Amino acid sequence: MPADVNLAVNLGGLAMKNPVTDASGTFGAGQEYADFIDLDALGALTTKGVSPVAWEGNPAPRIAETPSGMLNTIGLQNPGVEAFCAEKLAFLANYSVPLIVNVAGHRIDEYLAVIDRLESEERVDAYEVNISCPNVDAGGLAMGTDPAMAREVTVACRARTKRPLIVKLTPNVTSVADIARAVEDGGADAVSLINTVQGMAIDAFRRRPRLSRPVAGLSGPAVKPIALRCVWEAHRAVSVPILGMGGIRTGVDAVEFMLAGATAVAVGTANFTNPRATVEVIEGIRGYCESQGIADVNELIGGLQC
Amino acid sequence: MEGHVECAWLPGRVKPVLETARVAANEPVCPGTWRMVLEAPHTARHAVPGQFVHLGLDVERDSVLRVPISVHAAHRQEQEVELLYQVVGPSTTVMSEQIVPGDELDLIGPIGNGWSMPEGTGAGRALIVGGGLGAAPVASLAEAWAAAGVRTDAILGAQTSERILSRERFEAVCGTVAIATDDGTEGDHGFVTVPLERMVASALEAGDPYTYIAVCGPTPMMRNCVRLLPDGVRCEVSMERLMACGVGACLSCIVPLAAGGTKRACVDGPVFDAREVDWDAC
Repeated sequence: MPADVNLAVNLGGLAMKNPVTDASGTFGAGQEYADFIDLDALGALTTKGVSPVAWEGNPAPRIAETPSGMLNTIGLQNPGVEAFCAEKLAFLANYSVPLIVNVAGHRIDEYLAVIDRLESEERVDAYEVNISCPNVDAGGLAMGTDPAMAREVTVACRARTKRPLIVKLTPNVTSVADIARAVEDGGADAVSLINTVQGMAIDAFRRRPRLSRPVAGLSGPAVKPIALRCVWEAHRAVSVPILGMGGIRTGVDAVEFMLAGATAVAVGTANFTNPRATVEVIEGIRGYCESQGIADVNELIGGLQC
Repeated sequence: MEGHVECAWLPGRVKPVLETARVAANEPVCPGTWRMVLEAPHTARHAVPGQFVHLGLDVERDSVLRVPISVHAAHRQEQEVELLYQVVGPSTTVMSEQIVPGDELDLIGPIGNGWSMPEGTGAGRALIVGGGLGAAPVASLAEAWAAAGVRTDAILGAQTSERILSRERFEAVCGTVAIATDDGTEGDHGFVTVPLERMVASALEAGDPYTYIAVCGPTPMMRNCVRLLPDGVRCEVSMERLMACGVGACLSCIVPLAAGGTKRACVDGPVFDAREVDWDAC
């Protein structure tokens, strides 16, 4: 009788019993999905972005469905780090799933304020720093579009914590490899990618954008080829582990990301189609390994032959 | 409430489940509006008036998002729910053209806070206003208030007489069912605001005012009805928003509030107090 497949991976110091987490922004802080899945079945749980004070987000319409995907301009609405600690962490005390808190800010000191506040919260296991946020100190240019800025954010966050520090990259750059190298150099324990791809949707009859902001973020199956390419390029550029995401719906999708270089994967938009997508991806990875005679999922990482 | 049906994070609410939904019927009821009947045991057993389901269509389509549709009727014995929908875009076109009895869909349900039910012994009067497809989530509301012993009247509006929805259900339980049509083919020639203003005024004059008013329909219609409300009468509305997750996690469906801030239409709503909503921002 063959032994069970080993699904455990280590994402830059974060031990995960399987490679699957949810993608930030699609899963709240987990509680709304507790009716559909056992949160403790996940390899890790990634929260919505947390800012130092409450952010209101953008007006409606915040979403538009597009071919094989969707655009969103939620605007990182969140209640701020204090309310996060009081409300969301209290619920998560009922679960033991490793917790990755996504951190958002409009300037470097805002990221630091969130990390500093969470350092004393035992429940938190790791940080995912969202550098797709516009830097108001740099004319609104996204932190993650410039290697020097990306490195600077990473260095500043690195100094504030010994916990695993994952930096989340945007694909809306000329060279993902350059940004990945910069954040690795800055001390990141892992990189996650991709965040959403900039896109638009237009209502031809009202002659207006379909969302409240003209440019929004594309996610879902439509972005998978872009995400795979970015993961592959990042993997060739850096040695730190990669958390890959972008259009994953099934275990086989997840395997593709691991072959491209990902150590772990995140499932996002698929949760809207199927609130059980995360656990079905876990089982799909297990099924792939069993049918392919793979004893340890780590054998897949970077296993693409080309 | 039984432990295994209570929502994990909202005490006192039955949890939504993802359940298979076998199509029992799918047919047009009038030009532009269809009725789908689905075998969905959990939703049929637990749905209360004003809740909705998040319906999934064939996953091989190009579309990632579910379709949120209010529960028009829930039949506990038969374990069936009835939905009304209008064909207005790609997903509803698929529903009308490709889904046939026997198909297995799935849905998340029941979702949402539902309409308020009467307090106390059946005193007061209720007025239920349904404009267009807005009649769908208020038919069960009228039935529930009437069953609780409250005198209930209704106003139904549509473009034309043949598009008035489910009038029999309202006529079965309401004292008066007033009709308003855009083209004047039946009832008042105009919007539901015409009979609304008249009926509220005459109830007030008679010393027998409405104590609860529910309004459901397109946002401009609800905004105009809310403007006509007398002070001090309780009024609820049901807000329709684009939705992604449908369970409260993604923040796509927020409704702006008059007092500032937002609430999620899916789980904090879809029913809101009429005065809570920032109508100018909607």
